[in-house]
Amino acid sequence: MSHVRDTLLAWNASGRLRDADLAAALRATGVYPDAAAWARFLRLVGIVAGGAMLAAALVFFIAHNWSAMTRAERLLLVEATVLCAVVVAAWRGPGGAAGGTALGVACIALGALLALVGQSYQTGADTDELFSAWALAILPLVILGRQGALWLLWLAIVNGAAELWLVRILDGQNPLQRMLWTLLALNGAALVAAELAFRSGLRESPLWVVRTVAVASAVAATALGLGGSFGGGAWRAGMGLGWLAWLGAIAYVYRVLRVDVFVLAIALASAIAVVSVFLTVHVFVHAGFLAPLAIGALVIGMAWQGTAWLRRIVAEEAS
Amino acid sequence: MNAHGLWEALVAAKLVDGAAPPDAPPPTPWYVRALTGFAAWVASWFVLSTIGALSWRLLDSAPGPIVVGLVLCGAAAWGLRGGDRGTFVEQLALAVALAGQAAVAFGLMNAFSPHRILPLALLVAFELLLVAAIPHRVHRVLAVLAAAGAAYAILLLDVPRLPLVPVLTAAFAMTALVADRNAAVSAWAAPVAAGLALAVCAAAGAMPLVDAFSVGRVPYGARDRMGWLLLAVVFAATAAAIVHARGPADRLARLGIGAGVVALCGFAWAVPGLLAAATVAVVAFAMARPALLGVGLVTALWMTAYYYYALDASLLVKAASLALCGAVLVAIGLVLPRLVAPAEARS
Repeated sequence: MSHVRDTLLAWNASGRLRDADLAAALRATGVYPDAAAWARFLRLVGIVAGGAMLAAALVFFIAHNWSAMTRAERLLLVEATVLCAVVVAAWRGPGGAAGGTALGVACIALGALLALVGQSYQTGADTDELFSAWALAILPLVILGRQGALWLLWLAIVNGAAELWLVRILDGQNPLQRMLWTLLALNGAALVAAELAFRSGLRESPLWVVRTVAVASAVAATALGLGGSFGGGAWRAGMGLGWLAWLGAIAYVYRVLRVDVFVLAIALASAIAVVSVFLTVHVFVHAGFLAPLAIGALVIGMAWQGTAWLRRIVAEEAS
Repeated sequence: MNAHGLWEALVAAKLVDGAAPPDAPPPTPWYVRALTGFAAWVASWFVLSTIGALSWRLLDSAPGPIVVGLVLCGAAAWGLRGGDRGTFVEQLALAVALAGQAAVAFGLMNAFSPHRILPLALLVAFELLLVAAIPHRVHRVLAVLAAAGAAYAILLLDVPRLPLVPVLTAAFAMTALVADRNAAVSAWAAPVAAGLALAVCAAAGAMPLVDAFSVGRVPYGARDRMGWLLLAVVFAATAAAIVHARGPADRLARLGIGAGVVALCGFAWAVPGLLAAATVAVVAFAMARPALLGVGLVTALWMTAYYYYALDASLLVKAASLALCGAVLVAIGLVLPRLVAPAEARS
């Protein structure tokens, strides 16, 4: 759409399209949303936002009356929420906006139920075990829902479970390094799965889901690269190599196998961040007053060549 | 749709005639422009460090950083004006511009210390001057953000009654809605609107941090009813403008949209920032700006989540307001689309 808009504006600037006709041209070429698009937008926002508010209202109401309720009342209330949400999803169909929202509410309410059970019966479960049980419990709903947003919610919970588990079992034994490796492996595997699902045309993984998971893997990889930039030692070098491996894989997959300029731009931003920090730590403090100029020039050079490369790819894809 | 197909569609709609213009190079996607801005921001730190190392005696004096900053901004303006000088010059000029603005900001705060409002106000004016003087898309977004940040600092430090966020939100709505008037207007209005949208969402999203860490006074939050009223007026006026220009002609559909606006305004009594985010989202959808739509929706979600921690109402009142607003929105979501599409088919 931005390509269409920019083309129309270019024609307007060259005088081929009059100012008075520009708005009509934007409507005629589908840039501006038509009535059907507005209807879909209002439906989606109304149902999703309204559904989320109703769910939040229930949570607030429960919180207000919490201390006055018995254990049985609390558990029944949350179980009823889960059941109602699942019934709504089954009635409206899990694939639509209403059904998907209801499934999302059911997933969140299941987490609240597990936390409540753990608190009420003093099961002794750790927080990471709660998150793991939560991820397992909602998996059937996520599979049935076949919606990208639900899979992203599930991935976020799995990330949380992994982080908390590592913090617990690695108390004082390089938890940060192992956490970053684990998160990179987890989100990298999620990206592979999302990409394969996208290429298979599965509705669970539209392009925006693939790009969101790519951003998550980029955050984990960049954190790994930044961690490897400070200090020395084999394990720091290993972190740097892990980041380089991620960078290479992204460049190959999204330049050769399936071109996606957005993911390549994220990778380039990661490269600029990690290289800047690495050079600042290892060169800046040792090399005198011209070091910042050299590093700045390198960053500008990377950005210059990188954006030129991305623009060439955009031009290739457009032709 | 390629350029030829676009031209054919316009010919069919009798909006143009003659042979199709030659193909232009494809526009740069917004995320590549964002990358350019990010890289320039990173590089500007190193440029500033170098300038600082080379001219530390000059920077020691009160007007020194201002002079250095103005020289850098002037050089950047030369690099970014006057047509396509190539990506390298563009990238370098952006970094130099950001370094120059940082030097000017530092110089102003130093020169007028311990006063804060005057140098910040001068910085706002300087950034707005740069928006006008440097016709570069990414730079305009960054300069608007810098101006909004300086204005927000004034708000936090000394002038809590300044209706900054309502003013920024109104400015965003007006700028975005005229951005497609023609190419000349779009060249400045589109990036300015993007910068304002980001500033509005950042200000709204920062409210929980302001409350949590008691950084200065709460700028327009739960205790500022004037801020809520102004934002409600801006949101309602923006919705009315969009409906008037492009919305359904059907009276019932317009009433439904009005009901949704009233419900949201009522609910946002305790979290006025929600109205700012909603304005960004609605305008972004109307103007087909998906990135800004995403920013607005995420900020609206964040503001709704923050509602739990707002201290002005009990949990019971919050639950009731959420239930009422949620019920109205769900009803609108189920009923209104059936009115909007058939209404357009009839008209």
